[in-house]
Amino acid sequence: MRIFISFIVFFSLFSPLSAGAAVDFVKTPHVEVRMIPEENSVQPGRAFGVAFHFKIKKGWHTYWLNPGDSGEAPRLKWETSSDFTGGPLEFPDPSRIEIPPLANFGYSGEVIYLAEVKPAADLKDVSFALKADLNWLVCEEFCIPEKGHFEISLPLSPSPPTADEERRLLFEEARKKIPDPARGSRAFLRMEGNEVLLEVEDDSPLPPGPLAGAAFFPAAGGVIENAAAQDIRKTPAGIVIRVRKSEILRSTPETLRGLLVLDGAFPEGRRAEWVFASTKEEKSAPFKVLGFAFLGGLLLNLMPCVFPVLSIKVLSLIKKSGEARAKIMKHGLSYTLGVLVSFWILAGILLLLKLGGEAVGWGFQLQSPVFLLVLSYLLFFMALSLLGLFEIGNSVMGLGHALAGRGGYTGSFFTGALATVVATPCVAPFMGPALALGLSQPSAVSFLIFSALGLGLALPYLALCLHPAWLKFLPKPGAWMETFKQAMAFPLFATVIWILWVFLLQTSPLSLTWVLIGLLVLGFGSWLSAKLKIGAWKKSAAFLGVLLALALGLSGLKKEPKSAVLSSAQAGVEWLPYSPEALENLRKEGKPVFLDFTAAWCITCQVNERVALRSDEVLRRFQEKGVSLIKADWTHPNEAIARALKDFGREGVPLYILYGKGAEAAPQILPQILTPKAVLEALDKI
Amino acid sequence: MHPKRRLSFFLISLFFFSLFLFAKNSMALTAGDAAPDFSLTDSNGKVQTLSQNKGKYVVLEWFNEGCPYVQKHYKSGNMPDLQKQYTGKGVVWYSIISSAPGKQGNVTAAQANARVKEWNAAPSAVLLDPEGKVAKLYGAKTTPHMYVINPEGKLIYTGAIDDKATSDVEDIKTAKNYVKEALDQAMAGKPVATSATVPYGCSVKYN
Repeated sequence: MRIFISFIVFFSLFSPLSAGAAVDFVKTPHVEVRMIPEENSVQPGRAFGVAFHFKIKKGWHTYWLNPGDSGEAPRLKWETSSDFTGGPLEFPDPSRIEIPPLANFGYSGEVIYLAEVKPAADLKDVSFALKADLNWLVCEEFCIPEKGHFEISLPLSPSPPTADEERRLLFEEARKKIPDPARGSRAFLRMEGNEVLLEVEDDSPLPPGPLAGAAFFPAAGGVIENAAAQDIRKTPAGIVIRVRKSEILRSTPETLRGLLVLDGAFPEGRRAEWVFASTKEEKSAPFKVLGFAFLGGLLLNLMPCVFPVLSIKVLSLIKKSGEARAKIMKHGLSYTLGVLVSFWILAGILLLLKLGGEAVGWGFQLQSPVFLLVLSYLLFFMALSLLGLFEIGNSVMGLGHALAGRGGYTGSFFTGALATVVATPCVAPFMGPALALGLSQPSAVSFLIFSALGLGLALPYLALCLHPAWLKFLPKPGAWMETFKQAMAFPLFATVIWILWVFLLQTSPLSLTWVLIGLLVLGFGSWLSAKLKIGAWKKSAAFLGVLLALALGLSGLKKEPKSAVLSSAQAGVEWLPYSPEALENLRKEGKPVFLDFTAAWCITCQVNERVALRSDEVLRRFQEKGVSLIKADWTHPNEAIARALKDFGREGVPLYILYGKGAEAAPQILPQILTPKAVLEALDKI
Repeated sequence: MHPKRRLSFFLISLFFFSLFLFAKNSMALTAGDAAPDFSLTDSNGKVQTLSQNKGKYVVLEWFNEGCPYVQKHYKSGNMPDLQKQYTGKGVVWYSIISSAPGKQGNVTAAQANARVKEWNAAPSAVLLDPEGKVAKLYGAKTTPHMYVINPEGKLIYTGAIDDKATSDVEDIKTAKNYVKEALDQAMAGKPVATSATVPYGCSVKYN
C-alpha cells in the first residue's frame, strides 16, 4: 500500500496540474482497481508500462484474454491523443475456475494487467496526460459488468526517469507473470478420435510421466472443450497434451495457440509458456516413420524366427522356377497379400485393445500360453513334414499347416500370414519406436505403418517372384533339395524349443511335461498316418493325433502362472521387481537406479542381458556406483509396466533407463542393442 | 471356413472396425445433427415439445434475466425485435430458463411472464427447465446461447447471438447477428454460412 501513498504524495508535490484531474483509483462493491504508471516522469519517445492492479473481493473473479465458457476479458480503451500510443492489455497466466459442467479462465484475489504506452518523440508540453477507459466483468455465481475511467498526468523530463524501487519491483513481478507472446514452444497438433493432441517441443529435465498441476489454456474458444480433464504428460520427446475437442469443432484446426502452465514442476515455481501448435510442421514425420517401418519389415526376413518359414517358401519357389512367369508372380502377390492382411488384422486387434484400455505391446501374443502351445505344435508339425513324414499340400489337417502348406495361391497367402505371426517376437531394435508411433497415430496412419512393415517383410520374396531371373542366383533344383528340406526341419525344432522355453516361464514344469507328451502323440500320430495305406485311416490317425496332442497340452495348462523373473541370479547382484513406488522410493533416497524392461519372449532382451548386463565389469561398476537394479518383467501383461513404457514413448521391450543420483536427475535412455561399453559410458556420466 | 471366405470375412471385419473408429469421432451435438426432442412446461402451464413443431423453424434461446449479457440484448430491444420479426414469419421461438433453484435467474412462471411483459419480449413461449435437463441435452453453456433448428428437425446453427462478445449495448449496432443470418439464409434456401460459433455470456446456472 505504501507505494500508492508515496505515489499520490508524489503527484501532489511535483505535479500540481494533475492534482485535480488524477483519477487513478476506482472502487466498486467487488473490485478495487488502481492505474499505476511505471515511471515518475516521461521522457519523449521512451516507452513505459502502465499497470491496472485489481484487488478482487473474495469469491469473485475477473477474466483472462479467453474467458473460457462464459465471462469476458477486460477491455482497455485509450483516449486518442497525439501525445502517445497506448498498447493493448497484457494478461498474466490465469487459473482454471471450474463451475461444472463449465470452466472459466481467470483470476481471483489480486491480478495486475499491464499495458505499454509509447509517448511521442516530439512532446512539448510540460506535462503528459494519460486517459483510459477500462471495462471489466467481475463474476461470482453471477456477473457484473463494471467500468472505470482513469486519468493520470506525469511531468515531462528530458532525462531518463529516476527509479522508484518499489514500483520497479511491482512491475518486475508483474512482467514475470506475463508470458512473452513472442516466445514459446512449437507443437504439433493432430486429432485422435474426439481428442485434440498437442505434442509440445520441450527439453526440460522433467521426469517422464503425468505432470501434476499442469494446465493448458487455449487463446481462443471453439477448439478444445474448456471444462474437459486434460492429460498432460512429459515424454522423452517433449510434453504431450491430450484433451477433448470442442463440440463445435468440425475439422482439424490448422493452428492452435495456447498457454501451457506448469505449476510445481520446477523449483522456481510456476512456469507459463505460449505454445504454438500447427498441423503442418510434422507432415513429413509419418513418412519417416513409414520408412522405418518398411526397413524394419525388411530386416524381419533375416530374423531366426522368420527365416525357417521363408525357407519353406523359397523351396517351393525353386520347384516352380520352371513354371510360367505369370503364375509365379501371382504366388508372390498372394504371399504379399497374406503378409499385409495379417498385419492389418494385428493392427486392428492392437487398436481395439488399445481402445479398450488394455496394457498391450508388441509381442503381446507370446504372453498367451495357449497361443504358444498352438504355435509350438504347428511348428513341430511342419518340421515333421519337412523331414518327409508328410507331403505338404496333401494334408487337410492342422490349423495353419494346411493353410500355409496349401499348394495354390491360398498356400502362398497363408505362408505370408504365418511369416507375420512368427515374426512378432523378433522386434528389430528400431522397429520399437515405429510401432509406438504407429499406435499413437490416428488409426488410418497406424494402418499405413503396419502396411509398410508388412511390405518390408514381403518384399524379398515378392522380388524373387517378380524377377524370377534372380532365382538363377539360387542353386538349381536337384536331389540336394530333399536334403536341404530335411535340414530345414532343425531350425524349426529349435524354434519349438525356444517357444516351449517361453511357455515354461509362463506356466510350470508340469504343464510343460504335458505339452511334451502332446508333442510325442503328435509325432506318433503323424508317423502312423504316414505308415497307413488307406486314405481314411491315414486322415483319422493324424486328426486324432492332433486332437489328442492339443487336449494333452491344454489339460496341462495351469491357471497359476509362475512369476517369471528371469534367472539372473549371480553372486551379490540383486534385481528388484519393478513397481512405480519402489522406483520412486529409491530415487527419493537419492540412489542411482538402473531399470531393465524385459520379457522372457524377447530375444533381444536375453542377448542384451547376457552380453552387457551380466558382464563382470558392468556388474562391478554397478556395485561401485551403488546403483540399485530394477527389473520390469513384462513376460506377462502388466499394466504398470505398460504405462511406464508408454511414458518413455515405447510400446515394447527392451528398454534400459539409468537414473543418476538425486531425485531430480534426468534419466538416460540406453540403446536397445546393449553393449558393455554403452552401459559403462552411461555409468560414467552419473 | 474356406480360405477365400475367411479372407473376405477379415476384410469385412476390418471395414466395420474402421467405421467404428470414425463413428466414435462425432458424439457432440452440433450443427447438422438431429435436434433431440424434449418436453418442458412453459410459463403458462402448457407442455411444449420440440416434436410438435415439425415443419417449422425453431429457435432455442437460453435466458437468465439477471445476466448482463441477456439484459444487453433485451434492454436494447434487440432480442424482442428478433422474436417479433421471426415469430411473425412462423418461427417458433423458445426462451428457456435453466437456472437451478436458488441460483440467479431461477424464477416462477408468474415472474417470467412479468419479465416478458416488462421487456416487451415476444417469444412463442418461455420454457422452465430448473433441473437443467434440456440445457444439458443441448450442451448449453451461456445465456444467451442460441440454437436454430430447421423444419426437418436438424440443427442449422449453434452458438453466440452475434459476433461482438461484450456486455456493451453499443456493440449491437455494429455486430453481425448470427441467428438472423442463419434464419434468413435457410429460409432463402441457401446453405447457412456460419453454423457454429463459440457462445458468449454468463454461464448457465446449473445446479
